[in-house]
Amino acid sequence: MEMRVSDGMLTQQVIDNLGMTRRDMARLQAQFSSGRQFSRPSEAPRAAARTLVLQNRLDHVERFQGSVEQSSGQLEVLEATLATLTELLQGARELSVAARSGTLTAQDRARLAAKIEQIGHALFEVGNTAWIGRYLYAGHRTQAPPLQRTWAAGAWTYAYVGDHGEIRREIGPGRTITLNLHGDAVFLPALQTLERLRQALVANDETAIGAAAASLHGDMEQALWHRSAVGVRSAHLEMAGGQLADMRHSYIKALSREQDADIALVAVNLAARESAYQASLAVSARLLQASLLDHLR
Amino acid sequence: MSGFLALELGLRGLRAQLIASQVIGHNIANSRTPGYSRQVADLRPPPDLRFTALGRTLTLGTGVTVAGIGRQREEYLDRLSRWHSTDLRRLETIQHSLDLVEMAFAEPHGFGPRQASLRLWDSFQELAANPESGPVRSAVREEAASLAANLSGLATRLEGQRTEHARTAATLVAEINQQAAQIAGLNRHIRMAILQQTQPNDLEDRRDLLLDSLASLIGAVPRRELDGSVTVSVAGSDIVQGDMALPLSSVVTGGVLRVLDSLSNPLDPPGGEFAGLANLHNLRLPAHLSTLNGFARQLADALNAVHRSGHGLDRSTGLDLYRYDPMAPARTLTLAPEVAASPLALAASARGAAGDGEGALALARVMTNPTFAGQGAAEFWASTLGALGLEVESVTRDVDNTRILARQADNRRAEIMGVNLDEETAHLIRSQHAYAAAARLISTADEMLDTLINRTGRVGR
Repeated sequence: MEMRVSDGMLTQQVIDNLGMTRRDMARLQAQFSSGRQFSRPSEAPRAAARTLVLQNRLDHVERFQGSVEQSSGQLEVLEATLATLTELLQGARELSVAARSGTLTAQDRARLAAKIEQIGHALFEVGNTAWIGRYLYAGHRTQAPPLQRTWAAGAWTYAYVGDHGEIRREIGPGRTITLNLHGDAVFLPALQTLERLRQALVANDETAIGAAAASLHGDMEQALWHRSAVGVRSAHLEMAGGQLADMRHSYIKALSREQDADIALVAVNLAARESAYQASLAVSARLLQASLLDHLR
Repeated sequence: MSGFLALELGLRGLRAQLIASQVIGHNIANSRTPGYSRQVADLRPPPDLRFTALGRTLTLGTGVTVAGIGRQREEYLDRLSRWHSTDLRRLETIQHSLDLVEMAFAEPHGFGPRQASLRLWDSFQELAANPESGPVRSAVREEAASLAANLSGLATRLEGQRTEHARTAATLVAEINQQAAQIAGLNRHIRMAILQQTQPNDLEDRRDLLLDSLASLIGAVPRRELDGSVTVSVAGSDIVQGDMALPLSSVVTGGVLRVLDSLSNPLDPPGGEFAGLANLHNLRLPAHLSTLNGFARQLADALNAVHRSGHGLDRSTGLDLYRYDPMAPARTLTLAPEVAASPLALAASARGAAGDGEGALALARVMTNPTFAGQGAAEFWASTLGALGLEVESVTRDVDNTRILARQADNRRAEIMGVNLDEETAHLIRSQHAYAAAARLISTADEMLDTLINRTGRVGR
């Protein structure tokens, strides 16, 4: 038997086909307006899973980039304070060299002692530097000045009241950088040396002045050593930042490849689908209209 | 042989063609009626007439009668079509529900648990850098609450969807019972019509339409009995026997949705929409809920363990970050009351000093460590959402394929039973011509009789 085509079948088929074309057009239009190949995971599950993983990585990298930026800000402040420290110690050393000159009177040395005391005060202030509400050299006890001093029996005594906690930040998966130094290591010896020098000058004791001047040299070395250590950390941080920037770039590129729609291609497909839709509308209209009744009188 | 036979012949022709054109008219009138089967007048010659004339026995036809009005239908195609529609309806039901699940997770471009997890990790990092900062602490608390709200919202939606399916199943079964009762009623009418030797074509169409519906609702299968009634069964249990309907009921026992027959035996496996609802209610939605619950439990337990060992800015220690009810971890996940009351209680510090961010760093690591089924939180959601995408895609593909098969089966059925107006028109014209010709036959016979009666025997007049 040859195939019969009932009117219901014909209508149903026209409705089905038009519906299918319209669905395709809707999908293409969504791609066109969102610029994305898919808006739900089920439209492209594998690409969607890869997209999500890449988005996670990108998010992590951007977080680490933020951490690197903030950390390098903190290291810069640290470096600046260490620069001041070396400058002050340099000044103190020059004074100590001058103080050893045999031509100086007790009065001259008393004047020098006052100057050394001033340097000591300045150094003390540097050790208690606070940055955005936290003391840099206090370990974890960032809410109180780490260095304290008391004046008793004509002598300054210095104490460190911070702890030895490390301020660390994560700048990569499982990769941390330490952002602080401790005041007892960086400032306390120098402060004590300066105090010894001051007392020696007040006492006009040349041997003691010589000894203090010598240990001042050691403190200077120590300060430079700290400075270079912080410099190394900064360089390390910069390198990590560069790596993160590269990673971010490659993730963004991969992400775009996975999820961005090729707009030109979508536009071409959409135009093709639109003309197909127009054509099938025209054909359907004529097909459904035609009837034997039109040709009977 | 009577000379009036030709008149009788013509009359029979007129009657038969009139009936045939009435049948055509019925077809045309019902060309858009759902479930209508095309009818055809079965024209047949009545028993012939034998007589002896001119020394031979002759067989003469006696015109036409309408032997019956046939209904164009093929039982095999009905079975095929129902079989596919049972499958299609089941899959469509699953697809619609999973679509909602997928939309609820709002990925990849909306704000779902993956983004919420990333944001919480990010805020822990920020807290590690600024453990003394009040605003940063508030932000961490907001992100932690936001992830909990997200998980709890999702769990509530999925649980609601599940309850909704059980409710739909109950109304579905009520509808099935009502249709079964209608079939039982139709069975009675059809059986009586057949006993009276009439053809209840339109009643059978109505019954077939109900059988189509029952096939897609629960996968019911009809069996035709000799008396013209149908016995309808689901998974081997009868729901219609003759003019008696045996009502089903749907129950949820121990979290399992089932349909019971009139003797309270579970039907297994039903098909159609009910099977889809049961599959969603008993398997698919619980699986997604258990993913959510597992994540919520692992998140809370792992973060709490770290948080308890840390110290807050207010010197608190030993506090949880999250709390939940073990019966429904995702839905009940909230911040612990101490943390909710004050962000100072967030244990950013490992040892208690204000500037110590090691506790926050440890919390951040919980989020990226393989805490969640061997993955970090965001990775866990990426793979979970990928799997959900695959699940929805595979159901969608099944729906599309089954829809094509179902459409083909429907088309083959429509080939037989559907009305084609051109065809009907052509048949109508043929009937019209046959009618006109039969009328002409009568007038010709009339003229012949006139010749015989009025013009013969006038020799010599």
